[in-house]
Amino acid sequence: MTTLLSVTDLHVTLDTRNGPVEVIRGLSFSIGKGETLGFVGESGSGKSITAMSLVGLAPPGTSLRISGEAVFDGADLLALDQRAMRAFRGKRIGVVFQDPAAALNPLMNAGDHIREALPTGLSRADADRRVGELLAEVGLADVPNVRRRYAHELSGGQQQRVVIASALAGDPDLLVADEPTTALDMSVQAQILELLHSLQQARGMAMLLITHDLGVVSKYSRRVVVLQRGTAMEAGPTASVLGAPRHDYTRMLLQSRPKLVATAAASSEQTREDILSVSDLSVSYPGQGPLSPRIQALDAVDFALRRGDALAIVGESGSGKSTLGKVLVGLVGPDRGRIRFQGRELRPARMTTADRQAIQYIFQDSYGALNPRLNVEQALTEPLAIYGKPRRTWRDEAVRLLEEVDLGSHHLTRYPGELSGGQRQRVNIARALAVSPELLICDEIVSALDVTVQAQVLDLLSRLRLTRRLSLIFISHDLAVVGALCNRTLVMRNARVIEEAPTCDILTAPLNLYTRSLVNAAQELAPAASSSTSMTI
Amino acid sequence: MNSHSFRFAASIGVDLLRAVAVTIGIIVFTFFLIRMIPGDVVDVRGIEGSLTYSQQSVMREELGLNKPWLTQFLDWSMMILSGDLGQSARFARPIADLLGAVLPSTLLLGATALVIGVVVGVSVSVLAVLFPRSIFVKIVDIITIWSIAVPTFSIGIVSLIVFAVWLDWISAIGNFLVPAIILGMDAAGSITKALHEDMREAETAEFVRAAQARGLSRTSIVLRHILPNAFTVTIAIVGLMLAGIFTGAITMEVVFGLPGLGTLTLQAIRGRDYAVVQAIIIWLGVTVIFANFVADVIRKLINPRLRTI
Amino acid sequence: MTTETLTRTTSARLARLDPVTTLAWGIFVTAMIIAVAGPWLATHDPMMFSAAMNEAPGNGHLLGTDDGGRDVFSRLMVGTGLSLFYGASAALLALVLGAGTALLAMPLGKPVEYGLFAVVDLVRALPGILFALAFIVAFEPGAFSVVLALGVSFAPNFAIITRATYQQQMAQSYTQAAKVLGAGPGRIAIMHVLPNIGGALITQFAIILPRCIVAESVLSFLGLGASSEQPTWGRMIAAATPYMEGAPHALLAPILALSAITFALAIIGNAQRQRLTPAQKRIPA
Repeated sequence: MTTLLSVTDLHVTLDTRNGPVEVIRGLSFSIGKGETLGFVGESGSGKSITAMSLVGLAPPGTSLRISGEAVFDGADLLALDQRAMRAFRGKRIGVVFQDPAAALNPLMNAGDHIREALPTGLSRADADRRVGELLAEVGLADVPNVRRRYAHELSGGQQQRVVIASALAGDPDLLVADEPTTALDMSVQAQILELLHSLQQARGMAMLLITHDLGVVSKYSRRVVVLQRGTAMEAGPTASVLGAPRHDYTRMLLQSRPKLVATAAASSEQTREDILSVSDLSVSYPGQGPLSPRIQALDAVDFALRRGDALAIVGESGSGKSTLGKVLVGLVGPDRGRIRFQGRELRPARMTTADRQAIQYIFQDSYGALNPRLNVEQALTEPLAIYGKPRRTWRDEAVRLLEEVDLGSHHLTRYPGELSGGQRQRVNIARALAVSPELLICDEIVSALDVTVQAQVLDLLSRLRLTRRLSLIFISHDLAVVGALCNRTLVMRNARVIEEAPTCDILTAPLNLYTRSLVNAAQELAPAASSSTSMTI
Repeated sequence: MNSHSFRFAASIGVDLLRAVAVTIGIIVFTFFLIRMIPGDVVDVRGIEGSLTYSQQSVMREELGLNKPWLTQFLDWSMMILSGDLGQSARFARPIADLLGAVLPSTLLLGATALVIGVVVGVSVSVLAVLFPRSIFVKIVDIITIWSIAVPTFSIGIVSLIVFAVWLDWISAIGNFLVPAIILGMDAAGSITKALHEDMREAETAEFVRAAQARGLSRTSIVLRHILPNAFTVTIAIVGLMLAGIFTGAITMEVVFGLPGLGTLTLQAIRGRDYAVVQAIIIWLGVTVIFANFVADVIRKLINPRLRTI
Repeated sequence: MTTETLTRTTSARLARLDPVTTLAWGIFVTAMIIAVAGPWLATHDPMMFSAAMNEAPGNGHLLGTDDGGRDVFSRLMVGTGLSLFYGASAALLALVLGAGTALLAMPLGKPVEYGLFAVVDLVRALPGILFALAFIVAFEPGAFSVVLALGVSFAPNFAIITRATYQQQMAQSYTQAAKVLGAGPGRIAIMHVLPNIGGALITQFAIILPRCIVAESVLSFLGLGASSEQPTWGRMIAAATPYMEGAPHALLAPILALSAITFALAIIGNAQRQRLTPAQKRIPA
């Protein structure tokens, strides 16, 4: 195989407003013509910056200082000026971005995005024809009137297809796919990866596939580079790197991966009464404008949660799973339906202090949930103040809570901006524990975290469930993370509950067709786990 | 009609309804505000001694000033809605004539200022983003700070001293151009401040990087991706700025002694000629509301996301 | 140290060190001293007419005399306090009216909110000075009318800022998180909403204050503001305009004072806004 791109001793320093940051330190790798190379690493590993620096694109508000060599088909990319670089962008190297909603200009329709990426000098008719061909190539030919649609009129998967089509418009030799499915729903992720794979095969182009997901590289790339803090920890054929990792970091990445296995046990409580039961719960939101129809977020939802159980609520974006969590803590008012909590009627519009204290909720956005003006101690003592705990006990209590979530007293004086995502989420958990709740609702609380941190937070929740004898509702879009924590799983789609069963049944023998497609999608992205023998039923 | 154009039309319909509602609000507000005033135009002319007592009551009868206020309001509203602005008691002429005589010069002053503001503001902002290391970035700073820190009133009076007294140029350059430039540069400052900031913001968007990755030239990225995304806010600002431009035009007319709406307004207020004051407020209010409506339509033409019903 | 605290302290330091901002603060402090001590700094009775009309500076009159032979310097010393007082009162009234009604109306639900902001739209549709003129006609010309008129016509600025910040704060996860913890509306308002609205209102006040001072001067200039007994800047400008060829000093003195204070306040307000903006923008998690 002839080499298309050969990178030697790449160093990248980002000049930011706060000074230079060295992000890539001496990275070397190569991609052959028509080959797919996988780039794996967690956030901050420099995997995206490497790819973007090859085409001279700096993250917003920064500039790049690059040294080393990147020979692409005989030309050193790093020695090119802006004008010469433009000849490579789009025409020789195409880029697919992580978040298609952000990568599309909201004021420009799909057809124009592809058209402006076409080689210049085409006649109008030829350009129209090429746009049509490209749309067909990415599987959008059947979407009515797709050329004239704007980003907000397309689904996430369709948006990403438009981005891919515009990246292919210049017939590139190398396609850089930067976390191309991270922002997409589970069932769409597999489709987009399949599409990228088949395009790569059909066009015989090389692909640099950047991902945090080991499952993705194991399936689509023959060779892989594992990155941590700007250096390659390990590189080689995917099978041998993932099969027999030589480096601790690779091993840790592999171990942290959520497995599609149900290991969580049901509660061992003697009294097995329902702590929460919900019947015929419906919620709707007003539409965008004053005359738009209302949007149904929950449609006659029924379910029950036994004391001490952990229930996963799984669904894709827009399924209503977050709304369900918010109704239970009174952040959203229901249109109709009944909620019974600990044997009493619960009214979301007028929650009693006792109910408020008993049900706590943790937000997905760990940063937004903490007031940036309050430090950790102030954040933790707020609930103590609300419930009138004596002031002299506050500090000790705050330290105790921090220790319970594996943080320490040295974190008391930190502000939210000075903590990592995982630490902030721990503070949020500690804050909820401060009022000694019976039921803890976690809304996608690990979805913004790296896999290694994700695993730690999930462990923490499993432990708290036992030590605190908590009942849990764990809302997630990702079936893979629920197995270790939740003994029951409820699947939602289009505002309705479509299946509710023990997690092991959902993962191994789903009844509903949609649930099955979710499980299949999760399995496709995690092929290694399906062969696991540690299935507990 | 497909759903796209239906939604567009419907959302413009909603805007139009709102504009009509605010117009009605202004008509009601104006009427009652003026009616709160003790004393009327007839009183003033009585004090001035130009009318005898019996003449005064005849005049009140003619003007309907002795009817109950609700009747007055309904009569007056019907009159306004039928396009008749009424009669000026002080100048003894139809108000439409009075307005017609002064409006062209005020409109010309305002429009010239607006054109100067938009042309200078947009071109300086675009050039500063196109050439981020050029002098245009400095110009953006200067224009912005100038318009924040130097009110048109002060600069109007100072330039009057400089041009009319010290240099004696005012006859040479005409006393229309100086106020137009002063108002125009002030508008340019507001536009530049908003547009340049928004363009810098839009420049950091992911779709700009995506466009770069497609190999587009800097010029087409700025003109096709950055400018349109920043421009919708600027159009809204221009719509809102119109009220300020008229305010400025009125002040400038008085400072520079130009005939126009400003002079007429002062005369009407000093003479307690309510009908004229009412007509001016309504005319200006409707103009501003209509301009904002047009600005909304343009924004919706550019940005499909704003077309919500 | 994180990005956020770094940018905040850096920009704060820059805002302090910037020579233009330093000059602005200097002007501001001087103006405040004159505003308070003006009557004692005056060398003559600012109201006393004399035969020495429109005399150039010197000869016992630091800044010359005006068309009535009154001492321009003394009038300026006394007028500074008056102009600043009327301008500040109007801005303060606008703040209280705008923010107060918005804060009272927002928790009362959509219908009240829509009703209030229909009025706000209406006031905004009328050119500011014209609106003030109508008010002054209704309440008789005078300082009280001017303050009232400017207060009402600038109030929408504060109402809009208050509503936007209030909505933004209520939508923040941390106010919702406090609600989930059991915090009552009072605690949420004091701990989480008001500190942020406060910052936005101070910034807006810094922007509106110079505009109120100018507007008061314009109205005085048009003869609709403070009575002729009071040597406000606008009155001094109006009185000196007809004689600007022979006595430009009498016109330049008040206009330069007005320009200097609006310049200073605008620069300070702008620096304040720049300082708050990066702190309000969140860094990506």
